Amino acid sequence: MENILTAITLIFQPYVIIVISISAIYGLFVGSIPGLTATMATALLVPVTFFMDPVPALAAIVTMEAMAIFAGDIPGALVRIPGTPSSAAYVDESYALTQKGKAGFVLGVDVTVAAIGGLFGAVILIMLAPMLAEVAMQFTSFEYFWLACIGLSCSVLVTKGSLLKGLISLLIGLAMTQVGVDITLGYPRFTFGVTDFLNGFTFIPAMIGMFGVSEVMRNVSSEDCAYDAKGVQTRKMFSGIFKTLKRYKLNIGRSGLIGTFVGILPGAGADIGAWIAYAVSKKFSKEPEKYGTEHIEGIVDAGTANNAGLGGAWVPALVFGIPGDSITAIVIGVLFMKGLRPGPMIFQQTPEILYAVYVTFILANLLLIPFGVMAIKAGSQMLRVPRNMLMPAILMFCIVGSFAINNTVFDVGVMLVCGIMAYFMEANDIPVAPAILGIVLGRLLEDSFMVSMIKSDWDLTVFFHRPVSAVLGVITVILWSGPFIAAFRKWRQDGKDTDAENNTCKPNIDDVT
Amino acid sequence: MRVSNTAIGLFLIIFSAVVLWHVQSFPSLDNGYPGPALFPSVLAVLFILCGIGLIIQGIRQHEKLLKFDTGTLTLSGFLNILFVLGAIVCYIFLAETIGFLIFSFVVLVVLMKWLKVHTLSSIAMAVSVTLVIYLLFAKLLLVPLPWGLWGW
Repeated sequence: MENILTAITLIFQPYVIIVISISAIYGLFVGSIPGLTATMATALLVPVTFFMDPVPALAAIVTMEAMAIFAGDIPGALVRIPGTPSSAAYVDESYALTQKGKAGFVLGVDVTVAAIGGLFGAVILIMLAPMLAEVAMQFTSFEYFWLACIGLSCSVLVTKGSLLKGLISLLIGLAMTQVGVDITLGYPRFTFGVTDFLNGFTFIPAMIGMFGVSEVMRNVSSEDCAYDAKGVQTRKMFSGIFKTLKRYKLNIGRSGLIGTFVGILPGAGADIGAWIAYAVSKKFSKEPEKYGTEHIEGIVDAGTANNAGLGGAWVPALVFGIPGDSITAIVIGVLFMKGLRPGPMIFQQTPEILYAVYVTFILANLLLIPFGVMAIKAGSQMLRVPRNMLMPAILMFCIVGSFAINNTVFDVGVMLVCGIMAYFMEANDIPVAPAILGIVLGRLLEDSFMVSMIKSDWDLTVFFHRPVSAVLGVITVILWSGPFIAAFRKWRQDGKDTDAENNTCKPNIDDVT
Repeated sequence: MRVSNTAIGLFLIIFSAVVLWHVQSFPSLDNGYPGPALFPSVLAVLFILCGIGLIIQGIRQHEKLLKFDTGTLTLSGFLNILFVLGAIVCYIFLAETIGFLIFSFVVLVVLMKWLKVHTLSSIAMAVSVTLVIYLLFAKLLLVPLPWGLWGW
């Protein structure tokens, strides 16, 4: 209770409130411009927050992400292009309703369920995090090794598309952490005599490159198309909303849970949460045939889930230091740089920072309604800003942001290389998210393994000696074997199918034996 | 810009082979146990396995060995990308000499002109972006920007 009061006094200071308001507007703007994502917004915000105290810095990021994920719905409804990937699941419905002249209603529902979902995720974060932290207090390097393994495996398993390419992405991230002084002997690896490399790749410039520069490259490579959107009539936008919410209250609860728990899974963020909530909603709906047309149910579900996922992603991030999505991955990287190691110790040593995150989550989601309505009013104007004017400006922010962290042009070079790499990865369907988790967790993985090995004099079985460690180890092994079992089953199934095709009249040999 | 899975696989294998060769020079721990070389080697082996996987996929899909597909990327799009990358390279080599304010203004105007933004709008945008960055970083956050030979 005392901590909550401290946190409230820390947040409700003029400076912090101004920071929160500015980052809210920033988040709404970035979220509502197609092609600019919430992760990119975080990467660009980080160089600024780096020079602030932890409380305003974290408050800025939490507010920004809540606003950006909602704002992604605005261009979805107005021009049928999602502003961020998290809004992609339900653009068809939103746009169909807009065509019927109900843009105000859709966006009114969007902003309300976003706020409810966000609060839902925040409440679960507030309840779950301290409980898990109790457990995490007893963790040693063995458990952290397995946790890092689980986090990394999840990030690969949840990737859309090829698992192999997800794994390659993860390995790229891990490989990047190999540059620099090693933990066992302090030997400089892969530095090739460059002193700037001794501390490894600088984290923030790498993030700005992978999310900022690569996005700028992608945006300038295609023709600039002006979005022509009509203004939204906001006067009566909230009429009829209460009825809709009441009708779909079960959907909201279900999708809040789905969103939050998908958010907790390392590597899976708001976008995957929204897709899953949408699919579940369609499956259990009484009117599944209406999905994709002017039907609000899917929007309620997915719109709740994506904002709920944000709170969920902070649970493993704060408790274990394992990021739940790309945004918290960046946050963890930055906390490390500031000497704040996320993990159970935060709950004891600097609880006010933790409570400040909680309070900001609640505050940001309450502010979402008034700020969101403003953004909806300005939506069509924001979409008219030509991308060709925005991209050079964003590029300049990327350059200065990378430079500012250590005041060296070396970091600008790191940003350049990472940007080109991320651009090529995306162009070849290699997802970027697992690489980020690799970069954040690579050192933890190696250090905890080497420390454990040296402690136990290279006895590999110690990873299974402690009960918690053994359980985590078994979970890891199950996660790893999952894809192989699936592949084996598919292979057997395929074999049976071809057998069946080849000898339809003969009895199947497998069945006889 | 897409290349074939086979080509990516081959690249990964060659890269890992070089890494495996390079880590031979790393020292090991006193008692002969693996030290700094362990993780890079494990990663390199995993990279090789992934590379083989990609090559098998590529062969199954009957890909050309070195497909080079520009996809939707047009020539002007490619030049735009080069301009963006060029701006970053210019910063690396020139910013410390000419100073941030001039650099930012000139690069922004040139980039926007290249992207066919109206001259007046690009000058207005360049001035405001430069000022915002200057006020935010140099004045508010007290981060030293490169000031160049003339001090601005």
